[in-house]
Amino acid sequence: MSAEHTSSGSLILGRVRWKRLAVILVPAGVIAFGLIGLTAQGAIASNISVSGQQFLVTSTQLKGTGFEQFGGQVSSSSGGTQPVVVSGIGSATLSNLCQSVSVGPVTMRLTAGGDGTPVSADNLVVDASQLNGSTATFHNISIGQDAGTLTEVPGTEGASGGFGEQADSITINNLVQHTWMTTAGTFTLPDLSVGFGGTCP
Amino acid sequence: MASGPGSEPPARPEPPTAPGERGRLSGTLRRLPWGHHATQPGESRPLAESWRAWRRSRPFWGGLLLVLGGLELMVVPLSGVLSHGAVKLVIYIGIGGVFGVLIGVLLAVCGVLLCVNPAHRVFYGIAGVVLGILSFPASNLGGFFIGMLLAITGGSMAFAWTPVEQPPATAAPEPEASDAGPGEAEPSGPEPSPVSVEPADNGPADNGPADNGNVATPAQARLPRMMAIAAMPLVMAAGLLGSPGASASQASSPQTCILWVICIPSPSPSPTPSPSVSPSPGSLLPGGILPGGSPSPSASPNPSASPNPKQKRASATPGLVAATATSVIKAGSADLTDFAYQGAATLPTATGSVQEMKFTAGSLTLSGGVTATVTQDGATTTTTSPALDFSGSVVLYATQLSGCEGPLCVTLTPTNVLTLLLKLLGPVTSHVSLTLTSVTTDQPLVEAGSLQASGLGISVG
Repeated sequence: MSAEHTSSGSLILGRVRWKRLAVILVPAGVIAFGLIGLTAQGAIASNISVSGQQFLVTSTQLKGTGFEQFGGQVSSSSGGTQPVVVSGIGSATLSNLCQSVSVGPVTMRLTAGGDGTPVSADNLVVDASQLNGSTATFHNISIGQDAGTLTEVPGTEGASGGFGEQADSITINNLVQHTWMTTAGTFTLPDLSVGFGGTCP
Repeated sequence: MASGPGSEPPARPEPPTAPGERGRLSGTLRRLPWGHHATQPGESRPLAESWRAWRRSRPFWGGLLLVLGGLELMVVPLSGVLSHGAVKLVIYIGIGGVFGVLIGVLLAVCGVLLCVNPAHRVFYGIAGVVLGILSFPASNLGGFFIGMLLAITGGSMAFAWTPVEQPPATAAPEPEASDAGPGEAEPSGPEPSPVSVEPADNGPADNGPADNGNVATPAQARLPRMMAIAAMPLVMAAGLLGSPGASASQASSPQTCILWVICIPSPSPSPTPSPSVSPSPGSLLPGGILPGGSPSPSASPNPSASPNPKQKRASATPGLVAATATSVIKAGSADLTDFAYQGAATLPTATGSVQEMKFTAGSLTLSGGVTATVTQDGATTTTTSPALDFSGSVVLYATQLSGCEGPLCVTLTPTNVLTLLLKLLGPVTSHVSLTLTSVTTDQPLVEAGSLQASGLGISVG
C-alpha cells in the first residue's frame, strides 16, 4: 500500500468506455449465443465435469458400449466422504436426458436428447449413490472381478482388490441416478434446454 | 479484492471526492489525501484513498470479474476434490475436467495480471473474452453460464477501460500516456462533467464532509453508472438464471484462489499412478502362468490340492482376477439348466490367490428377492432385483454355495463339493437342471453372455 501511496502522484485514472465496451461485447455475445445455439442443436460437443454435490440424472433409455462398475468414494462439499458406485461407459447414448444441478441457491434443470436424437457421451464416468432402472440388459458380463483389472473403459479402473463388474454393452431403461460426480470427455446435447426449479421426472 | 462490487457505495462515505477522483489529474489526486490528512487524522482515510486510487488507475472491476469467473469455472469440476484430505479418493478428471480447470486458471491469471500490469489490458481483456467463450463447450457449459458471463463481461470491461485524460509532464514515463489520446476524443456524456465540476469539487474537499448535500448530485449521477457496470454480469446472469443470488456464493471464494491454483496439479496425477501400478502385479503373475499349464502350476503352490486326490481341478478363465472385497449374493431361488461342476479353480487376487468352486450352466435365473451385497472400505453396496436372468455359457465361481433342494440343505465348499454334489444329484454330476431355494453364494464371480435384470436398484450406504 505504501508503494501506491508514494506513487499516487503519477497514477493515471481511467474508466470503462461504453463504445469500446460494445465493440467487443457485441461480437463476443454473438459468438457465445451462436455456440449455445449450435450446442442446443447437437452440432457441438461439450465437456461436462461436475462434482461435489448430489444431483439427479434421469433418462428413459441408456445404451452403452464398454461398461464398468465398481465401488469408490467421493468427498462432498460439506466435508464428509460419500461412498459411491462408479459407472464408466466408453460410449453412451441417453434418450430424454434430464439433469438437475444446484448452482448456489438456484436449481438448474438441463434437458436434452428429447427430440428423437439421443444425447451421446464419450468416456462417461458417473459416481452415483443410488441407481435404479426398470430393466437392464448386459452382454458379456463379468461380475465379481477385481476392480483394478477392469478393461472395458480404458483409463478407468477401481482400487485393486475391490469388487468390480464389466460388460461389453449395456441397456438400462428408465434410469434414475443420484449422482455425486459426472465427467465425460464429450457430450453432445441435441435439443438442449435449461430450466429453473422443479426436478426431473 | 475484499470488497465486492455491491459494497462500493457504503464503503465510501465521501461522495464529494468521487467526481474529482474520476477525471482528476494526478496533481489534484496527490492533493486529496493530504487535505484529508489535515482535517481528519484517522489512519483509515488515506489508506482508503490510496486503495481507491489504485483501483481507479487500472481495470480493477474487469480483472475482478475475470478472477471470479475463473474461480467459478474451477469450482464446478473441482469442488468435490477440494476437501478430500487424507481420504483415499477415487477421482476421475477426464480431459473435460482438465480443460475446465485450465480455462479457469488462465482466466484468474488474466484477471490478476490486469491489475498488476494494466498496460497490457487489451491483450488480457481479449484473452478473457475468448477464454470465456471457449469455456462454454469446454467446461460444463461455461460453468453453467455463470463463469462464461463473468469472463466475457470482465474481459470486455478491461478491454474498454481507458485512461481518462492526458496527464501532465510528470506522468510522461507511464506507458499509458500514449493511450490517453483516444480518450480525449471520446465525445460521450461524462466527459464534460468533470471539467465543470472541478472548481466546485475543490471547495467541499477542503471543507470536509460537512456539506455533502451540495455536491452529491453529480456524484450520484455517476455512481449508478459505475454500479451498472459492476452489476452487469449479475444482470446478465439473472436474465439466464432467474435469480441474481447465484453469484453471491462466489463472493467468498477469492481466499482459496492460491490454494486452488496449487491444488490443481495434485489431484490429476494421483489417479494415474494407482491404476497403473495395481494391474501390473495382478496380470503379470497369474496371467502369465495360468494359460500355459493351467492345472499343474496352480496345484503345486497349494498344499491342500496334493493331499486330497479326490479334488477335481479346473482352470480359471485366463486373465480373470477375483475381487477380495467381501461379497454375497442371496436369492430366494435359483434355477440352473445344463448345470455342471467343473472343479476347484485357483483364481488370482490382488493380494494372492483364492480357491473357488467353478460351476458352469446354460442359464441361471435368480429370483425371489435377489440381493447382492458388497462390503469394502466400510461401505456397503446393495444391489437388489426381483429377478436376475443370466444366460449364454454362464460360469460361476464361489468360495461357498449353500442352498436347499427340497428338504435337503447343503453348504458346498471346495473341499466337500464332490461328496455333497453326489448326495444332492446322485451319480449324475453334470449337465442337469437344478432348482435350489434359499441360495447364498459367497465371493461370487459370474461370467455370462448376457444378463437381464428387472427392477434393478443399486444403493450405497
